[in-house]
Amino acid sequence: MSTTRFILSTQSVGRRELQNALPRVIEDQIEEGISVPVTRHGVLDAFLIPPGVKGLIDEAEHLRKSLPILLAAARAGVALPSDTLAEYGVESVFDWEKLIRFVNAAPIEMECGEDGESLIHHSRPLTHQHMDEDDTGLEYA
Amino acid sequence: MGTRDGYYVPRRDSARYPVGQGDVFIFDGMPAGWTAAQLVHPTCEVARPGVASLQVVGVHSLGDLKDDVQRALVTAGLREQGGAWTIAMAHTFFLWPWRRGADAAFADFREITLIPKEGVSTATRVATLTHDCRVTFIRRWLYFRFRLLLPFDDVRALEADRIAGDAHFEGPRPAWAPAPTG
Repeated sequence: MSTTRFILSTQSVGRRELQNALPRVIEDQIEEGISVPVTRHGVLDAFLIPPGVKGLIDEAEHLRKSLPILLAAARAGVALPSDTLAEYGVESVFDWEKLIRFVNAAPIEMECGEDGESLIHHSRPLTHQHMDEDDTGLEYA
Repeated sequence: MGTRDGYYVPRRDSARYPVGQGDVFIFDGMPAGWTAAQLVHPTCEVARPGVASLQVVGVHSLGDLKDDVQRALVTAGLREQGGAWTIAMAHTFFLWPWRRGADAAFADFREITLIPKEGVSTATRVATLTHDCRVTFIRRWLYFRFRLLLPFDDVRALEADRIAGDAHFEGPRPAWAPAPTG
């Protein structure tokens, strides 16, 4: 998980003002890791964010898919192996039966192999081709 | 798969099922430290006269592992990392206790050995995998051996095709692989 934090400036900057103040806003706020609300006619229009926050947003987006399952595990006291739960200090007592029942019932979609490699997707459906086998055994000298 | 019946054919019915890949055995002369052995040899090879030895892997009790972190990884077979679900402990396959009061166990695919064929029979079999559980086993085995992480449905469809084309298939068929008609 990223160590970058999302820090939001308490002061917004207007779009028109930003055109002239951009170098100062970048120097004073963005380079300090502070995100800045940008307004138009007093209404929030956008956020100016430091580069590091983009990674944080991507991470949160990715986490969104698995979060309901993680929360369900935490609520049910299931010791589901999870870096995110560990990060937040959520610990449950290991009970193999609770865990295997949970894993089999939860809509978990595997995405990666053990080393992070992607699931194999096919453009064509797989078919099994039956072949007659030669039963001859090998003979060694 | 979240119950013993999901994993294993009930004992009263198991005699109808020939010995198959993934079944669990306890026999004399098992390697030291093994609780049981899981057959990983292809089912169709078991009955061949020219085959004298079969490949099995070691089965251990979950309690044999060092800590609950490892037990959880082996039981779940997966972990969440940065929001993604990834395979964990790919060299293992969780096994529900095959009799009441027994410990949950797991097969360790790294501990593979050849045993005389006589060690594997309905008499030494302690757990008969259901067809669905065998698909899960094949998927796990494929990933361990070849690093091919196929969707469950693809593996089951392949197994259904294979069974449909197997003229020597014996025992009850899974509902998803009915006998070919005509």
